[in-house]
Amino acid sequence: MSGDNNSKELIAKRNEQLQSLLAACTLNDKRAFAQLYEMTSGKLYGVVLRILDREEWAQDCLQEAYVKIWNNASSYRPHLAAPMTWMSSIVRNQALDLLRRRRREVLQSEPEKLLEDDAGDAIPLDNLQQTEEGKRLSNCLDQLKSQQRQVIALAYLKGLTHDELASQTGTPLGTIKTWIRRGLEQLKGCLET
Amino acid sequence: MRDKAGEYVLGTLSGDERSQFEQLLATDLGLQAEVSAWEDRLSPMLDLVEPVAPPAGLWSQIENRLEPAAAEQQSTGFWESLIFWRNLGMVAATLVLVLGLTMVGVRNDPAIDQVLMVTGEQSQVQWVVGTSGRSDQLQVKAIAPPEMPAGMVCQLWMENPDGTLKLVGVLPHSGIQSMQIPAQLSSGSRFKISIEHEDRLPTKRPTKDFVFEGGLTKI
Repeated sequence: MSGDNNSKELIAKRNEQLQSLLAACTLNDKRAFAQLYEMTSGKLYGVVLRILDREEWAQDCLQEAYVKIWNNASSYRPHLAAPMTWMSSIVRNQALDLLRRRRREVLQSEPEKLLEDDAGDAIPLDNLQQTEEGKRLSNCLDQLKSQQRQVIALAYLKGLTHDELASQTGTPLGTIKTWIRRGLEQLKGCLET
Repeated sequence: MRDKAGEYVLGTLSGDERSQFEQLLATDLGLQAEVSAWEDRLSPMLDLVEPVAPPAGLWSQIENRLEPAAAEQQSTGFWESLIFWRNLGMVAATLVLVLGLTMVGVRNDPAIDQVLMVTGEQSQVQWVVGTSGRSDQLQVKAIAPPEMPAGMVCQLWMENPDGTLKLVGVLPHSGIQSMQIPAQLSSGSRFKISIEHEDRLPTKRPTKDFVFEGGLTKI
């Protein structure tokens, strides 16, 4: 139990520090931004690499995302979102936009390239137990059917669209859409109780 | 579109649906809250992602593109500014390159070592106050200042542990302002805010109760 409290405290402390750093960024403090980058870029690069499996795209994306974080630091609302949630949303959106654009380009020039990757492989969800929020989400994901759980995880972590999920998992598009819609509804209901 | 917030955050909307949704999102506060809620719900899944150190050269590429002018743009919502930056991306990238080359070494960037977030009733940030070690100036940035009745302004005060209260000045409505620190700053210094008549500003003591009080936090 004390371990739990400790890690809770550590997370709270880290969040406070990230918030202070973002606040200093609004005052144009590049040193604070450098420290923010140091504390967060490993995690966010990991997130981007999952979505964009090419390193070159992932690096472009991370660069764009951090410039956005700097430019928008004064739009960050600490009372509405944890700093990592806010930053990872910027990074994910950047990655998803890039992915949609590049997928279109590759699809037009070399469509066979897109079928090579392992994007449809199952994602193990057992490690979701580190934080309280993670445990809650994990419990709620456990209540979904396993295919529902997998398409939601694949979509979130790898950036697959409905169509891609359908072709990668060999499931009809309509079924995928239903799984996701119902899965999200169930998840929301479960997390709110 | 309204019920698509979850799928938008999940990332399954196709390109067209995604851009339509973002257009709506830019102005729809309810939808923005809905999206934030979904980001909150799903983000623990990112715990599954192992950190990977980005290549060493990436930071300097990012650093070269940082412009204080960009961080200065005022009081547009996050989504507005996001779309603004997306559209202006190309132009901005070119400008930054040009400005970056001409402005290197000219600017004097503050290295902030302590910050105070001035918050309102719903704990929303209104101003950020920062100090930097050797400077006798406070840097104050207006984030989302509260609406004031006509003719009223917010005055910032500083109180030291010995009880002396000094006026710092009127808080800015927008942008960043430097303000002289009126007395020796100590770790116990408190900052307080009162709402005053613009044309009868007190200099010794506030005429009204403080609406905010807080201290600096070391970064």
